[in-house]
Formats: sequence, C-alpha cells, structure tokens
Amino acid sequence: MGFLALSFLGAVLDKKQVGLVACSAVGLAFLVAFWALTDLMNLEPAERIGHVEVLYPWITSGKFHLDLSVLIDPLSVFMLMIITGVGFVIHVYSIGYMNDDPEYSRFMSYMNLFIFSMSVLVMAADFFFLIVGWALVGLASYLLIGFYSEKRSAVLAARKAFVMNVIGDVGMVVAAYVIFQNFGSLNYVDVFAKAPEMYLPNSDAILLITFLLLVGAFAKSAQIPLHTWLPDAMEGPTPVSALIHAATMVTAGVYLIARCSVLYELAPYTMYLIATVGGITAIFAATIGLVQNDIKRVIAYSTMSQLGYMFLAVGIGMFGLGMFHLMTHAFFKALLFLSAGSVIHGMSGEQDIRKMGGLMAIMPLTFISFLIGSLSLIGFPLTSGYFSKEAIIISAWHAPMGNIFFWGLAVVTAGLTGFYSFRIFFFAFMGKQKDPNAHPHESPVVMTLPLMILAFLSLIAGGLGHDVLEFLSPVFGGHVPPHHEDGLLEGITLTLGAVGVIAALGLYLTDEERVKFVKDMLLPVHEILYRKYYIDELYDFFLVQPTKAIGKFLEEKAERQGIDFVVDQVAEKVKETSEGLSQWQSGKVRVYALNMVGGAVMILMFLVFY
Amino acid sequence: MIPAPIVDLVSLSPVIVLSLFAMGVLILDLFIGKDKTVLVFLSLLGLFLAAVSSLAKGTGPIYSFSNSYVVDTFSIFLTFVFAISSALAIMLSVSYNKEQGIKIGEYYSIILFCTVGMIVLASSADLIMIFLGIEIVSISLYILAGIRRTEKRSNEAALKYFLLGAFASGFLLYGMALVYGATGTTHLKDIASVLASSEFKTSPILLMGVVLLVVGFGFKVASVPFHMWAPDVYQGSATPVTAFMSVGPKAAVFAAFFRIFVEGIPNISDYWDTILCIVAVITMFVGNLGAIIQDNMKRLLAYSSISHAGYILVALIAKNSLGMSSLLFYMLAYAFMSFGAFAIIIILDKQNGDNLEVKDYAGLGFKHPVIAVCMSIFLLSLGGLPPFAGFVGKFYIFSAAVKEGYITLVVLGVLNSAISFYYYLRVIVYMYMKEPEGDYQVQPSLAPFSLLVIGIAVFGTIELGIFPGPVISWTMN
Repeated sequence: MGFLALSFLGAVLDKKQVGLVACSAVGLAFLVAFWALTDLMNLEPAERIGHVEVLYPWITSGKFHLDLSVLIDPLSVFMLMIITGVGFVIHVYSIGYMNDDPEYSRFMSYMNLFIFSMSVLVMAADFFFLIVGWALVGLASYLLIGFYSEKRSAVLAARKAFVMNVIGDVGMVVAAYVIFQNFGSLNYVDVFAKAPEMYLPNSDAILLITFLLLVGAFAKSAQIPLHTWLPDAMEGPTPVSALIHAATMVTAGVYLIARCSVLYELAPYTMYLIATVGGITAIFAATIGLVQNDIKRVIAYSTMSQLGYMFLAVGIGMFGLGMFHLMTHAFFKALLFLSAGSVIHGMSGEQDIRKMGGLMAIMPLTFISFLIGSLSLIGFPLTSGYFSKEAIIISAWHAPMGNIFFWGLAVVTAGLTGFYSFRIFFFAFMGKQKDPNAHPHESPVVMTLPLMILAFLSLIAGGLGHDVLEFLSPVFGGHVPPHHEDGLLEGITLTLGAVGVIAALGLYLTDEERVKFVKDMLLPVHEILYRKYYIDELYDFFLVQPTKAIGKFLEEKAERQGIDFVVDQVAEKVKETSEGLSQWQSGKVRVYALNMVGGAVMILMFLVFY
Repeated sequence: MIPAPIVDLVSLSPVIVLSLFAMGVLILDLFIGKDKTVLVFLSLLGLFLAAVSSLAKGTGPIYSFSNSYVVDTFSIFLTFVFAISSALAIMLSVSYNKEQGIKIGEYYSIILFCTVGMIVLASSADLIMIFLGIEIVSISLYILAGIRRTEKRSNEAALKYFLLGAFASGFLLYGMALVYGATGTTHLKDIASVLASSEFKTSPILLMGVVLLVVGFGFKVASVPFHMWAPDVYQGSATPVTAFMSVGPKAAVFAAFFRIFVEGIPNISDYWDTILCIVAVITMFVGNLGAIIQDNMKRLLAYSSISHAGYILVALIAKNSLGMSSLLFYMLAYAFMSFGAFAIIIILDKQNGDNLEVKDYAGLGFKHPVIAVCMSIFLLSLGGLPPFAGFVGKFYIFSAAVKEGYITLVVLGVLNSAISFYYYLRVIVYMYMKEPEGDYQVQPSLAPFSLLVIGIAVFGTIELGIFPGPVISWTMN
C-alpha cells in the first residue's frame, strides 16, 4: 500500500508539459487514495490506525532515527481523498481557464508540485516530514500566488504569504525540537503513545508544544493575527485560489490540530485559545467581507471565516466535526471560487462586482453553480453546508467545552455570511448589465463540467456526515461525537441566515439610493471594514518600518564599516602570508634539505624543553 | 637456534601476483611493437587479481613471517585503495602518454612495482618491513617522476625528489635504528609491550628515534616543514604520475605511520602527540595558504594535497578506532576526488604544459558544461562540502578527534577547510563567471579511458558522500 502510494507521488512529481498528463497524474493519485480508502473501510475500526509503512530507513544517528515512511490511517486517507479529488477537478478546470496563458505548462507543473507537497504533508508519519511537506506547500503556494510575475501586486502578495508562512514554519520547527527533547522521537506513533502517560493536562511542556504548533497552524490557515496574506493571495490565478486558498492548503492547520488531537486534549488552555481565535476570526472576516468589492476577495474573507468555524470546532474538542466541515467547505468553496473564476473568465478578467450584473441569463450554468455554492455556504437546509455548519454551531453551545460566547460568535457570523454571499450574488447575476463594454459569455465545457461535479457534491455531501464521523473516529480516541439536537438553536441560526439574505435582497435588488443611504449612515464603520480593521497598516507601522530601519542601520554601520572592513583586511593579510610562503619555496635543493634539518632540530628542541 | 619463520604465501598473495604481473609486463614489452595498449590491460588485470587475492585470508588479523607481516582489515582495505588508485593512474596515462610521446613500457610495470611496495607497507608489522616497503615505493617514484626523460622540469623533479628522498630515508632508518636500540626489537607488537613497562619511556635514545621517525615520515607524506619537495616535484612530473603520487604512495606511508605510532609506540604518545598536532596544524595552514596564490593548477593541487596530509594527521592523532576507520575512509574518498580533479587537468592539458593555468579554465562552464560540472564536484568535495565524499571523510576525522578531546585541533582544521574554499571556489568562479582571454582555445581530448576515470571518480565522490554506510562499516571492522 505504501509503495503504491509513493509511486503515485512519483507520477505527480513528473513535471509533464501537457495538462492531460498533469490531470491524469492527479487522477491516478485519487484512484490510489480511493483504493486505500476501501482497504481501510474493510478493516475493523480499531485496526484502522497506525499503519506506518517504512519505505527507507534514512538517517540513524545516535538516538535519532529518521525513516522515510508514510502513515495510512483514516485521517490521512480522508485528507488525501479531498486533496486529490478536489485537486483533480480543479486541474481539469485549469485546462480551460489557463488555456490562453503562454506559461501554461509551468502552471501545471506548479500545481502538481503543490498536490505532491500536500500529499507529503498529510501522509507524513512523523513531524519531520510533516514540516518538509509544510514548507513545500508554502513554496508551491508562493510560486502560484506570484504566478503572474509581471504583476507587481502579485509578487508582493506572494512575498507576504511567504513571510507569514515562514513565521509558522519557525513555530513548527521549534515545536519539533521541543517534541524531540521531551519525547526522544519525532514519530507520531511514539509521541502520541507516550504523551498521556508522561504529562498531566496543561503541563508546561504540552502547552508549549501545542502553542508552537498552533503558530504554524494559524499561519497556514490564516487565523488572526497571521491572516493578512490570504486575501492578498487572490492575486494568483483563480484555480489556485480555489485549490490552495480554499479547499486544501489553508485547511492544513485544521488537519494539524486534528492530527495532534492527543496532544491538544492534554492542553485545554490551548484548546480554549483555538476556539476563541477561531470564533473571532469567523466574525472578523465576515464583517470585512460585507464591504469588499472584489469578487475573489469576498470569497477569500468567507474562507477565513469558515476556517474560523473549523478552528472553533476543533477548539471545543469536536475534531470530527471540524474535519467534516473541512470536507464540505472544500466542495462548496472550490465551487464558489471556480464559479467566480468562470465569471471572471467570461467577463475577460473583470473582478469588480460593481461592474457585473445580469449574468443569470448569459451564464446559466455558472449561475446555478454559484447559487448552489452560496446556499451551501450560508447553510441552507439540506445542502452540505447546512449539516456541517449547523452541527458546529449547536456544538458551540452544547459540547462540554462550548459556551454561549462561542455560540454567539458562530451564530452572528452565520447571519453575516448570508448577507455578504448574497450581496455578491445579486450584484453579479441579477439586475442589469452595468458595463456596456463587457461581452460576457458562458465558459467552455472543461470549466463547467467541474462546476457541475462540485455542485453535485456540495448538495449531497452533507448526507455523508455520520459516515465521515464514524470513519474518522478511531483517530480521535474511538468515539463518535454525540449529535446534539436543539430545534430552538437551529431555528435561530436559520432565521439569522435568512435575515442576512433578505437584507442583501432588500438593499441590492432595489434601487441604488437605498444602498447609498445606508452606506452614508454607517460611513465610519464602512471605512473601518473596508480597510480591514487597519491590520495591514498596523503591521506596516509596528513591524515593517522598524525592521527596515534596523536593516538600513545595520547595512550602513555594521556591514560597510564593520564586517566588510574586517573581511577585506583578513583577505589582504592572508594573501600577503601566502606570498611570503611561496618565497620560502625557492626551488633550491640545499635550502629544502636545510629546512628539513631545521625542522628536525626544532622538534628535538621542543621535546627537550617541553 | 633460530626457528625458521612461518612462510605464509597465501598472506603474501597480492604481493606475489602483482610482482609476477609487473615482470610479465616488463617481458611482454620486449615483444610487442609500439602500441602499448595490451600492457595496460595486463596491468589492470594484475591489479584486479591482486585486490581479489587480498581477500584470501579473511578479515581477522593473521600474522606471518615471524610476526612481521600482517593481514587485517586495515591492510585489505588499503590494498583495494591502492589497486583502485593505481588502476586509475594507469588508465589516465594511456592517452596522456600517447600525446606526450612517452613510449616506455616499463612505465606500467613500475607503477605495479610501486603498488607492490605500497601493499607491503600497509601490511608490515615490523620496522624492517616498513623500511623495505618505503624504499620499494620511493625508488619507483623517483623513476616515475623522471619518466619524461627529455623534459627539463621532469629531470629536475626526479633529481630533487631523489636527493631529498634519500636524505629522508636516512632520517627514517636512523630513527628506526634508535628505536631498536632503545627497545631491543623491531616488531611493532613487541615494541609496544616493552614500552608498556615504564622504565624505558623517557630514554633519550628512544625519543631521539621518535623525532627522526617524525622527520622521515613527515617528508614522505609531505607535511610541513618537510614538504618543500612536493610542489616542485608535483609540477615537474607527468600529470598522471602526480595524481598517482598524491594518492596511493601517500596513503601507504600514512598506513605505516599509523602502524608505528598508534600500534607500536602509543604508550609514549605524551611525547609525540603534541609534536604531531603542531605539525598537522602548520601543515594545514601552509598547504592552504600556499595554495591561495597559485596560478598553476598542478601546483595548486600540490598545495591542496599538503593540506590534506594535515587533515589525515588529525585522524592519526586521534589514536582511536574511529580515527583508523576515518583515515581509511578518507584515503578512499581522497583517491576518487583527487584523481577526478587530475583527470580533468589531464584532458585539458596540451603538450608542453599549456592550459595548466587557472585562467585557462575561464569560460569552461559554457563551452564544456559537463566537464565543468565534474570539476566543480571534485573541487567542492576536496573542500569538504556535503553531499560529497570529502565532507563525510572530514566529518569522520574531526569527530574522531573531538571524541578524544582535541577540540582546538578540530577548530583549526575546520577553519582551514573554510580557507581552502577560497582557492577551490576560485577555479569554479573562473569556469563559470569569467570570460576567456582572447579566443577560446582549450580543446579537451576525450579519450575513452580518461572519461572512464572521470566517470568512476564522479560516481565514487557522490556515492561515498550520500551512502557512506557500507564503506564505513567495512572500515570499522
């Protein structure tokens, strides 16, 4: 099993020039993952965990062992299914979307690199390869965000994403070091087996480890305060946004916490922190999303907000629910992004929703997909989002670690979600066409087919909820999270969601005067939200500017006058010595012989006087 | 009555095989015409058989000839290193000799005889045997250095080497005599057991003998301050001979050096290890600093070879089993990377020693990228950059020394590695970043044997760098 799994990685690595090959590589990977899934399904739940396939013992140095090995368990296979499944669909979509791009094959190879890195990340059987995958994913993301390398904003966004990710990587590396110090191993199996025996809940070591891992998770999953790169990352091509910044990479943080659930259960304080940050991020991102005008940015903020939900879920100990929402979110968010991509493609690159409108009739397939995606996002009954999100919101109240504060955050966010998702929906698809120069057209079938597949999944995936929870349960200590029924809470959530939608309807489907009126009334608030709470400005003022000043100072004083000077002098002296040495080398045999005698005498003198 | 020594011809089989082949080559040379290719194949076959026959006795230490000859892992491993390095030297010579007009069949048989001497050196457990081995090796090398009879530089090299070498042999022999005088035996094991009782430890005769041994060995391995012959001789000799001299014979002398000091007189190491530390440090410094301003590639590698002798001395000073295995590993690694670098010098070399300056390498990276990449690999490995063999070798040597607490020595060694990058990288900079002066003229002569050598060397350098495990565990035995 492990061998086959790796052989598909090899196939993915092949940077073939043709989209077909790229797609079939990912498709093949998906089939292998699917095969692993059926294999696991046939096993008894208790036997499903801990299949570590050692491929090659790599480094053995003292007590440090490192094997190249993969972990096959429900969690990794589950993630693999999502990554390769959604990845495959998006690869197919990219064939159409990137068709006109001269750098088509470079794009495809980066995409394959990303899938490979992500597979390494989720299949790693120890923290070392987890970090390898983690960093590779960061690299792939950097390359893809900055894909339009002639666009300055894209390059800046890529750099920002990279810096943020590196902050997370540092946290991860330090975490790995602390883990190795404490447990003497980096292997999941060893660490997770030893942890409960060695440490009491909330002991310092565990809190430190979980916190450091959390830094990595927050950076990758764009949680406050390491979130600013995600909206900017929308500068990349839309399939990238769909694949990396919605469906897969950003969920790595959630995966990490779920993977280390054993450790996190020993650290309730950290869990509380996760849930709080998750909840706040959810509402924070949702409010910003209310006022943005770029269609992709709105979806990006909604991604952040949904990631907040996932963190909330894992933070209150509902790991299974977090993973379930991760899955449904992967479907409907990829769907939304791809539909948005289809819109942008049809509008020849226009991303501002104020210039769109009336696309319903022109792009019916895209319209339907986007509608389904939005409905699922707001948790409209019986769509997939409904099942996963509703479960999280109710658990936020009813779970042992839940409280009314978490629930409040979650439920208000649900209302805001309704508003902003339908705001863009109405802007883009309803009303009249606003830009007379645009000639929108429906996208080709390679693009709409993936949309339909994802739309189908978004609609029905909710029904898999119980199966997913049960499948994953062995990884999370063997119990299926209890299902909470609370009609009242459910009702409140649905009502708020509906209120959001209706508010959007009321504002944006009627005349524009009303929008203007509301906007003027709430001008200060609008400004703060539009500026994203000034977080970027804060970073710039407190971190970027001082760092630049220090760098400048060091360059002028320390570098030029200190180090450079010393280095130059050393080089000068070394050269002089070298020349001196070669003059010693006179070429005369008698000098050489004398030299030998001299050496002998010196050694003798040394011995006598020593 | 003196008991007759145990005659164990099987132990001696590599030596016997090689001697027979060397004589065969010599005789066959009379009957064939001007094309000496058949001699090459015969010599290679001889080396191969010698290496194989060294395995005949298994790996356990087996003493024979009144305990003066020993077969153990150390000697077997070195026999392989010698066979490989001699084979590489022979293969390098094929096209070089054709181009340079060296039409002497004895050439190959002398290399084989020299190899015989090296095997004797690595296997001897007795001062007299060691001297015998050193003389076989040295005399062969004197001839090889002067093999280009019509070349002035070659003659100068041979004569210098001979005069100074004879001088050094005097030191060595006198040192051995004094050690014998102090301990009453020439067997290394017996010397060790005599010295185990404390009364002889401070005898002036013994210490004088040790000093003279250091001088003699110091000369043979070209350590400072007895190194001065090396740059001149290396530059003057034919390039394949230079490559040969810098690897095999040096390794053999190091083996004897190691046997005497670590197996024979470890009990008085208080006296000699400080001396050797100082010698090692100044050897590294002089070698590396001397190389910095060299413009001639052969001279540059000669100085580099001096500095490598310094590193190997560190392994000897460590005196532990890790030191021994790191010494062996380093010999093998050094054989690959040094031969590789020399092979590239040879294929770029033209008659009359053109194209031997560093500046002749300008632009090589663009005209002949494969050659330039190979050269970069060898140079970086010589400098000790992972993932190449040189790094692993240095790493093991230094960790052996650290284990015994020679921290200062190791720090100085690492510092020297850093210095050495200056001149190795300088060549690489020339290859990739400088425009050639005038028209580009260097035309490599791509003879199949030379390419084979480069291929083997690249493979060995990378293989030992990435998967050092099997070789290390062999040397640990």
